[in-house]
Amino acid sequence: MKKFLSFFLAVTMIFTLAACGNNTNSGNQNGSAGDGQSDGNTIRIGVLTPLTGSSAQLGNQVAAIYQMLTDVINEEHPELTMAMAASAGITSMDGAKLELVIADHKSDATTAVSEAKRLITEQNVVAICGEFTSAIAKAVAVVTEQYEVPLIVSCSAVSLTDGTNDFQWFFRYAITDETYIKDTFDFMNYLNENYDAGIKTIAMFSEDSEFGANIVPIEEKYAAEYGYEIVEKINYSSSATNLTSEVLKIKEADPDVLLMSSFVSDALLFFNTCKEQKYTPNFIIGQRGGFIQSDYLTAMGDENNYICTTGSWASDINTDVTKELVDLWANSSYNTEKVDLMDSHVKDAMNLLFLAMAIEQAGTTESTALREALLNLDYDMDTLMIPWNGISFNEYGQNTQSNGFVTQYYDGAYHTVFPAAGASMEPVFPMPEFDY
Amino acid sequence: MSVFLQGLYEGIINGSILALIAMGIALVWGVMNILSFSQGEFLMLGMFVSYYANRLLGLDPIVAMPLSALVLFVLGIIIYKLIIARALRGPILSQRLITFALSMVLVYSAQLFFGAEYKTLSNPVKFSGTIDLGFLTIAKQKLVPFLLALIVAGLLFWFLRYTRMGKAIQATSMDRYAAGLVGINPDRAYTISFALASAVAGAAGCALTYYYYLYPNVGATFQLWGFIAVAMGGFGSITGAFLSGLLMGIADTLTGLYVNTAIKYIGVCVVFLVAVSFRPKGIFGK
Repeated sequence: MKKFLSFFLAVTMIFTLAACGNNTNSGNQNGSAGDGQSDGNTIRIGVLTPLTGSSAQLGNQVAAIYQMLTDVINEEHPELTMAMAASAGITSMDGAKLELVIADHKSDATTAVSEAKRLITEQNVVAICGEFTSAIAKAVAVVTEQYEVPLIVSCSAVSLTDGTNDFQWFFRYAITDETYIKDTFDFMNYLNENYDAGIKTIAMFSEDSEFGANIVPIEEKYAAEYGYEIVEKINYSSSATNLTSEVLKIKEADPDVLLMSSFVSDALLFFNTCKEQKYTPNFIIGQRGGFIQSDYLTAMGDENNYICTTGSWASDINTDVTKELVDLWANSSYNTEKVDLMDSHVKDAMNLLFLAMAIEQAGTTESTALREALLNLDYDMDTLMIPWNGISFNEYGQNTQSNGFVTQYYDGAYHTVFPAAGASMEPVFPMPEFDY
Repeated sequence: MSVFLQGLYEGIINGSILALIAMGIALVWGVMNILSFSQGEFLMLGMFVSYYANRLLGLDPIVAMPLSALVLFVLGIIIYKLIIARALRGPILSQRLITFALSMVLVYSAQLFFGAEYKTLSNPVKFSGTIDLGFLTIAKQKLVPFLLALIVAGLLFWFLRYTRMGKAIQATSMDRYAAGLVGINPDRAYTISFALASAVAGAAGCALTYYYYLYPNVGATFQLWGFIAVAMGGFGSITGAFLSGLLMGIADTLTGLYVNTAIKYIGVCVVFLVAVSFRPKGIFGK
């Protein structure tokens, strides 16, 4: 009996491991592992995303949206306004089809580096995009620079494009923390001027990895520039077993506005601890991160009402492409979890669209020509998912014309509240108390 | 003063979870001389039992706690019989690493079957709310881990000291072969010890779901601190593990409150370093 049970357990473990491995490989569903050639009719795009690990939910959703978007680009959709949708495939390359080779970086920089090398040297991908944190993007950029392959990301750390790294094959169309944080302080001024909010003091609550650490000095700079007093500054580990002392210090300082740079888990723990301490911050503005991820919103539910976050896309943007995109995703077979489209999804999806447009423009996948096309992209803003001011790059691979806005959560979705021109809801200040 | 009292109280509460993990590790180490790297994963499984009991049956974690302890007790027996008992016959390195391998299998299995996303209890919890004493705010749900740690420490103390099986376990931990000569079944003592440690982690997991989020790797976060609590309290000492866990929780919260939140874990480590400097075998180590 014991031997049988041992055998059964061993078989179960083997199946478990096989299934875990399968999870990684399932991303490669379009890639025929091993042959590694992008022939004339298919163009291989490397997609690095966390399919397992702590950010697996977002990573899998991004992979799913990439697959949906690839189908749109590869097939004829004359009814859609979106760029690259009207005709099938890359017309300048005889209708060549995009083929995604999806790899799992597990939110781990070492894995991301080895997977990036594999995608380039074994799978012959022409460029890499996907879902990255700033720390992982920085690690992968070293590989893409070495092999001279374009890397397109939407994470926001300023340090990636401030010249310290001198990346030549790194592209970021999306905005940086600098812009997001300037939006935050402009929004606070707007609340003071138009809603008599009386905001004078702020507190900063920032996790201590690349994400939060990059944001802190920018917030300090703008606080000094805009004349807001910082009454508390908390740096903490996002994997903390508790945030009790952090919350007690914020409660004691009681700032007019709390600026949070947090991931999903720590944001959830923070709000739980606030409720235990019977404390509701006067007003909260998050810096994206966990605030725009579906597992955070699912866990928070209505308790997220009136919390603000900066962002670069919201479903209430009144453009044809946004409506098409929301509709496509809602009805897509790839949307197995039936989640709503979010800022974090669209920013990443934009990168695949830009890459397809650049290949179309270059008429080749040769890396130097592709780099030139990415830097000098011809575009019609009305056909893009995010209506930025424009696209033009500085010498460090940063789009200098992208812009963001502030949204406030209410009734199951984020609504644009700033700038006023694009607002779909009046901001509510201060926040009502949590239900203790 | 009220901030200090609140910090002290919260430190004790936060330390209770570390104490619960540490007591399980101390039990397995003390009896079997195995460092249980899978204790954190048993905590994670206890959290999943609590999560699904709440989601599917609408149960509060405190109600699901006996169920979780029972499930983990049975799982502990199965794992001991099928894996640990065999490894104990092998070289010392295999004995030490077997629970590490087990922890990896449990994490990836949880990821596969339950998903990797963060989860919190989906149905309303009845045992919640706060008691405001003016100088102290007490969250009812956070009393659960503290009371559980007290009960577990008391029950383990009573079980090991006053029951026949407990005495057999103690005898086996002193000398396995001599215990066998006087009619004690060492294998049975080991099985019960491992299963008890698993059950404690299962109950702790339930208590943790009241305020902490759940995901497959959650155990690793707490386990490291559990090991430090065991080393500080003295390997194999249940009392030492319990008190060290509480002390670490207090050091964590007060360092964050009065020094800097960014270095609060340094405070915990300084307490550990000071303790082992004066008592190299741990505060209650022999």
